[in-house]
Amino acid sequence: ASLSMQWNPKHLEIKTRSVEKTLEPLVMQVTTLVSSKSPQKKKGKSKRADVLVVAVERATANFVDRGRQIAQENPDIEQEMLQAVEEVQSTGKQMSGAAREFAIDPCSSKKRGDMVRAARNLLSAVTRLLILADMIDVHLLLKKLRRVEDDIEHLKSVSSQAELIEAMKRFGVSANDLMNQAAKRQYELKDPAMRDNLAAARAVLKKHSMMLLTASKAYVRHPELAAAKSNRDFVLRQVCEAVNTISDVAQGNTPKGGQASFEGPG
Amino acid sequence: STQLDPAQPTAVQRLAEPSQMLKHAVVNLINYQDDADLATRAIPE
Repeated sequence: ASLSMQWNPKHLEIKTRSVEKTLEPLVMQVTTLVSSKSPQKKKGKSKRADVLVVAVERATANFVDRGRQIAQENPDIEQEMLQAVEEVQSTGKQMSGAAREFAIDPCSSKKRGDMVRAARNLLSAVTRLLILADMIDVHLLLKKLRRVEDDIEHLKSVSSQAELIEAMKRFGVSANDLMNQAAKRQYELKDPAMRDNLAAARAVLKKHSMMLLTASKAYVRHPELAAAKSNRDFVLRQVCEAVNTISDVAQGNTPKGGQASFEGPG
Repeated sequence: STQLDPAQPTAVQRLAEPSQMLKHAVVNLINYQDDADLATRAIPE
């Protein structure tokens, strides 16, 4: 299933720790660059300005390379990503030009002002690319989630033991994949309530995935027994709820009722 | 516990280090102004 990316560069809400950790100093820097008196410890005093310019150019090129690599690995959103990479590259080029002018004449306040403005644009472009990368991570999680949903649908339709074993194998692989991706997201999330919901959903998914085989086996063997059907349906419902919670958390939605509730047997 | 595979970092994690390096490089260059200021002040009229 294809997922459309809703990329709004003006909507820059940061939901993950990695992005926050990376962006916080960047955003701060973007703000403080306009002030001529930086409160931070001064660095680079022993180096010549042109050496520092080369360092910026190299770092920009390295960042652009990494961004392009990630774009190519994600064909679904390659265009949006490449567009953001281009922006980093073009603002980087402007930064490089302004920095070289400044290096020639470091006492010119105009040249310094031009460079600071270019730096601000460059760091803003970097910020946008990082947020887009975060969207890629969410996109990947949702893709894995859709696969699990498809496998659950298939599981519901099996009518023989052989079909069941095959369907369970598929479900096992996709569910495991989803749990791993959800674990990465859980580690990344800033909001503790969201983290808890994700942890709970992962635990339910893991526990009920094992029960699903037994419950489904009994149902496939005895479809005429209401208890067997009800038991299998219960486990399936739990699995589906867990998958829905992962989906909600991934998309930043609060689960219905404010918090996910998982009804466990016993 | 949350098991993470360090061999497969997320897209954001892969960009975290290069973006930090870029930020430091920019900050170093911006701070170079202070050396220039000092030099200007040290030179007599």
